[in-house]
Amino acid sequence: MSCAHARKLIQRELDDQSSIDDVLWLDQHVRGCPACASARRRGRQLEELLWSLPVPAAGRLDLTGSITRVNRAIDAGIAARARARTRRRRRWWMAGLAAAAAAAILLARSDWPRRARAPAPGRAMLAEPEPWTAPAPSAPVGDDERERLDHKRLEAMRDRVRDLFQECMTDLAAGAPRADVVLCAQRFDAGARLHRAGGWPVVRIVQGLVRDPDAAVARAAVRYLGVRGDTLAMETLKDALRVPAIQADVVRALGDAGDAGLATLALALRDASLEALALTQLARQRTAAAARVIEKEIQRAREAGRAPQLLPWFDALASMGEVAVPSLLELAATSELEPLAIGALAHTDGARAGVAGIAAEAGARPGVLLPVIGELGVVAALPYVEQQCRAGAARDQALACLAALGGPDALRVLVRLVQGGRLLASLAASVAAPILDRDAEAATSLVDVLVGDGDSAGARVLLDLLTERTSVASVPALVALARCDLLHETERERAVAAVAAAGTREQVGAMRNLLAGALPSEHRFAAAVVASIAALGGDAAAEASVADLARDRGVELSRRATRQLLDGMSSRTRIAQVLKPVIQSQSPKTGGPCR
Amino acid sequence: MTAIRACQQMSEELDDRMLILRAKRGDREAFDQLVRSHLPRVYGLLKRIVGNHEDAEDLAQDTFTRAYFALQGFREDSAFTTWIYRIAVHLGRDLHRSRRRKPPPLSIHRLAPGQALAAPAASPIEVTLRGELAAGVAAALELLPYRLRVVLVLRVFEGLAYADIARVAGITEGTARVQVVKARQLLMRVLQPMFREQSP
Repeated sequence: MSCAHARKLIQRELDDQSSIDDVLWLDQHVRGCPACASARRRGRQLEELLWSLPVPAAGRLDLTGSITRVNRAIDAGIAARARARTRRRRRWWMAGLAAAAAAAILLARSDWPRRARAPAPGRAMLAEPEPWTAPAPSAPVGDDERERLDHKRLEAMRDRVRDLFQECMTDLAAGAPRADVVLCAQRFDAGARLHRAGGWPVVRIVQGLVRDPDAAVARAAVRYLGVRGDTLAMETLKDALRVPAIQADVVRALGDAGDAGLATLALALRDASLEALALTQLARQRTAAAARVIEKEIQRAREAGRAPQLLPWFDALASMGEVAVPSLLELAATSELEPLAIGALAHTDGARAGVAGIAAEAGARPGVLLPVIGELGVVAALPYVEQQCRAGAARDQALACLAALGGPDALRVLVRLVQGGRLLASLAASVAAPILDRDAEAATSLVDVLVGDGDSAGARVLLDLLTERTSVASVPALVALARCDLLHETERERAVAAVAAAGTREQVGAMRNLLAGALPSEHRFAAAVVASIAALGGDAAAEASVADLARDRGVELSRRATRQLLDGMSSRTRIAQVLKPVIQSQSPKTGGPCR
Repeated sequence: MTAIRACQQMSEELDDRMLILRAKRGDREAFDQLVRSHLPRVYGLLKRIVGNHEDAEDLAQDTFTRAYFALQGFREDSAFTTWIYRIAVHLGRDLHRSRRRKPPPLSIHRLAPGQALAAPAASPIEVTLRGELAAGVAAALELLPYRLRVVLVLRVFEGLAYADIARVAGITEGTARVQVVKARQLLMRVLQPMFREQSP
């Protein structure tokens, strides 16, 4: 079916002439057609706007005075008509008199028999004109005539529609799902098709059934109107919300109505007895508009001092999933509601994706967003956090957010910031410290990434960060950097020295591996590794490492050299002298940048 | 019009029939009762059509004066309300013609300064709560050509069926439908700034 058909249905809907099938078809069409959705929305908004006009105040109308004036005008009209009639009669009388005179003259001249003389002009013609009297009563209206009167037929039609409605709709259980209501409504619509085709206001008659003395009929009428969801139906439901016997059904009907019922559902939220049901109906819709209604009402309730009782409202928002994220973020901006909002976000499906999406949009508010990103660990929002770190205005919050996020990606952001001169290494190191405390592997993973990217500058900055505040947590990454060919020999020596300062005996094995992989030109680096082994595992461990290295390389260390080594453990230069022939005996290595 | 009002209208029409019969027999008291029950509604209709209290009140009184003298011709093949509306609409048209001048192009900027529209509110609740909204919409309604204004008022505010609108306005049912659609389109154009854009 085409958009042209949809436009016809929209007009029919505005006119209250659409069947449930029309409404459902239109619902489906507008889901995939933004143009028709917009046209329908505007049509409904226009109806809303028109309905927002106040009824002309009859209070300004002076009813008694008006009736008096009408009567006066009627009397004046009667008098004027009487005068007109008199004038008309006079004119006829004069004409008649002239004619009679002429006739008399003619007769006098002729021998017209006297028996043929006409009577004198009627007394009535000569008498004063009768005063105007009310029109004579018309004959009583016959039975056939009465049948034609609209109101009579309307009454009969109302009864017929009610009977049909009762037959089709009152089987509905209280709280029946929308699908059941739709089925019953379709049955009723099919039955009322001929009435509608005859131009009878079927929907208006159903609206009247909302106040039916039979509660089952009234409830069913409410649900029927909810499924229709047009402006007129919503007006009726708004009125019906004040009737205690059917309030719950009205709230369900408003839920059935989708977006059209939101404004009235907001009113229902303000009624303590309907609050839970209204929340359920809103949460079930899972639309941004429904979430926004809850958000507004939460703000309203907060202003009324009800903040501590709002947990179920936040639960409702959390159950709506990603569509509720913007509303929850708005609420998180209010300090009083922040814990509840962040708690709800933590339990919201798709919240991370939603937050990342909002962070990617222009105009996102860092004051609200950054704590939430940190709290929820939205790694996908890292580009936004980095941008905020650069911007300066919310830098402290952004750095705290980075620390909360953690992981190699957060560390890399820190590295980039230092590289770009946006952050002092010392400050970056203090942000990195809690990241490493939580996840020692983060820095090691970053080293792998930097090596993979061939980012030597990044590796240097990371070394600076790790040596700025050396801790046990940073040792594995320092070992990895010590192995990294992207760094200069002296930088790797710094890494080894840092390991010696913060490491434990456990790192001796790693140091020995480093020693084994040292290049022929790196005898100074090798000396630093040996010194580090001595610091971590003692002189004996260092001597054994050198001996093993010499054995592996096929170099025999002289007794003198060994003694020199032991004596020179405190001097890296002496160690280097001993190691030099051993290291240089190795053929230059080829291969990857790391050993 | 709410459903309650629609039902009230039905029962009122039953009472009207008796009053009309009595008034046709010359019972002025019965006619007074008809005036009493229908004058506010006729006034409401005229107020929406002509836009001001004084004209609406005068025309409403004229409507009933005319109705009194034409009552014998009322064949009761339509509701009394429909018949009286027809007289009112005709009187309104006469007044409109007597004062007619070429209207400037339809635009929201023709609203008086006091009727300037605020930015659209974010939610339906806010929209309904806005007092100034009503003034803006009423002003926009007055910008419509007379014949379109009449059919829209009869359809939207008086809740008349198209057949009745056709009888009141003296046009065919099809024309009435087309004119209502056209009136809505024109209003949408003029009220464009007041529409909220929602994400689907």
